[in-house]
Amino acid sequence: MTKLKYFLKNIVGLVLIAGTFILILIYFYKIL
Amino acid sequence: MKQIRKKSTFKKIIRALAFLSLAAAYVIGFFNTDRETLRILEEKISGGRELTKISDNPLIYETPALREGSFSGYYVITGTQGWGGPLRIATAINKQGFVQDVLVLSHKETPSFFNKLQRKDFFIQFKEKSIASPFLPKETIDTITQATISSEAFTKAIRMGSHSIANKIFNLNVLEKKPEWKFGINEILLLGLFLILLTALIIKNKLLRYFTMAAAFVFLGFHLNSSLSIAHFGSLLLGFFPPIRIHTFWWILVVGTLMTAFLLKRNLYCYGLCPFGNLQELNSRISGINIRLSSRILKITKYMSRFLTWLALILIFLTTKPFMGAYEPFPVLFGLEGIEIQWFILPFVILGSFVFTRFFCRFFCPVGVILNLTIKGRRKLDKFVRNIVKLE
Repeated sequence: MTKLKYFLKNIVGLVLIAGTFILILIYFYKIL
Repeated sequence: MKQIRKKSTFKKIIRALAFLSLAAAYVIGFFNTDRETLRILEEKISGGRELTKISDNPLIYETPALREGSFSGYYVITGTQGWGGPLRIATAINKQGFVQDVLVLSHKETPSFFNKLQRKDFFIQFKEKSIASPFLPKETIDTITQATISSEAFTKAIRMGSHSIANKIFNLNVLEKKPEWKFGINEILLLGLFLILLTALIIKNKLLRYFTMAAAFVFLGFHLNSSLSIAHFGSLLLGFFPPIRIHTFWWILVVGTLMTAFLLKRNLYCYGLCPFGNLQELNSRISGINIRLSSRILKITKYMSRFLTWLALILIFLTTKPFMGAYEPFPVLFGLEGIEIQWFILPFVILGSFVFTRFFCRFFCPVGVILNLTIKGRRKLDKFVRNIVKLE
């Protein structure tokens, strides 16, 4: 259960980090 | 051992490439600007009009009426430093000595600030004003809230042009008043926040820190929308220094933050002045969650903010427009201004701040990167000096 919780938390974190990173890259693309 | 050495060589190569590419972008951008300004100048002013140059300093063109009743008079070109960098305008003045139009030839202001000026009819208020008018911001000219520095810079350029025409063409004796030091309540409050936070850091008083954080959140965030951004550092690196007498607040915020980082080896701004950082800290306190990432993910995310800072600086140098690199979501939150994509970045960051302590600061913020590099640079300098003293 703890392992699953840890895994899910990491997935949520990864989605948020990757999502923001991609959006920032799109910002650079759009502003050009 | 061999692997560690290999890794450190790889790091050195990457670092050297990053600096080389930044230097190349700086040089390319430097040569691009002159051409661009000249082209826009010709495009905007001519438009089929006959222009006769009658002065070089400042540049003044005389133009006859194209048909009966149309504009005839002068175009005077002047420039000054705005919030983002140099701006250049052409003020159209008729033969009776009244401002007829203001053409913005080039500027480096953040689009949201500039759009605000246009939307709120900032330039229209200059029409039909006498060239001998004092053009004083907040007195005879209305400035636009949250775009005050831009308003003041444009006003200054128009004033310079109008007064030049008044003196050179109309032989009036309009004296240019030397600007007074702008040191009001905002500047005093900012200095006060710096001092209180420094005290909180030295005596390790949490309550004092929280008080500063709350005050900075309201004052720098919602009241002034003046968070420190990569655009400020871009301006400094490009040599766009706004006049200190008029833009004292800018100097306290930008140079003050850099100086405290360099002299005290402390990142005071991120510690409690950044309104966005403060909001994120509040969010994570509310949720009580701080996800601990696996070492694999951490390895990938470690250099993300540095990479984004490098990318932003490349863009700033190539275009010589500091706002181009400002990907931070601060203005969207505090000024409700920004391009569409920034509206998508903001909810991600806010959501992230509920599950990570200082989510944006940790993974993406370029301001933190620059301030921490300043501190690192200072530490290296100290080490270098110590080594020299030892050798002697």
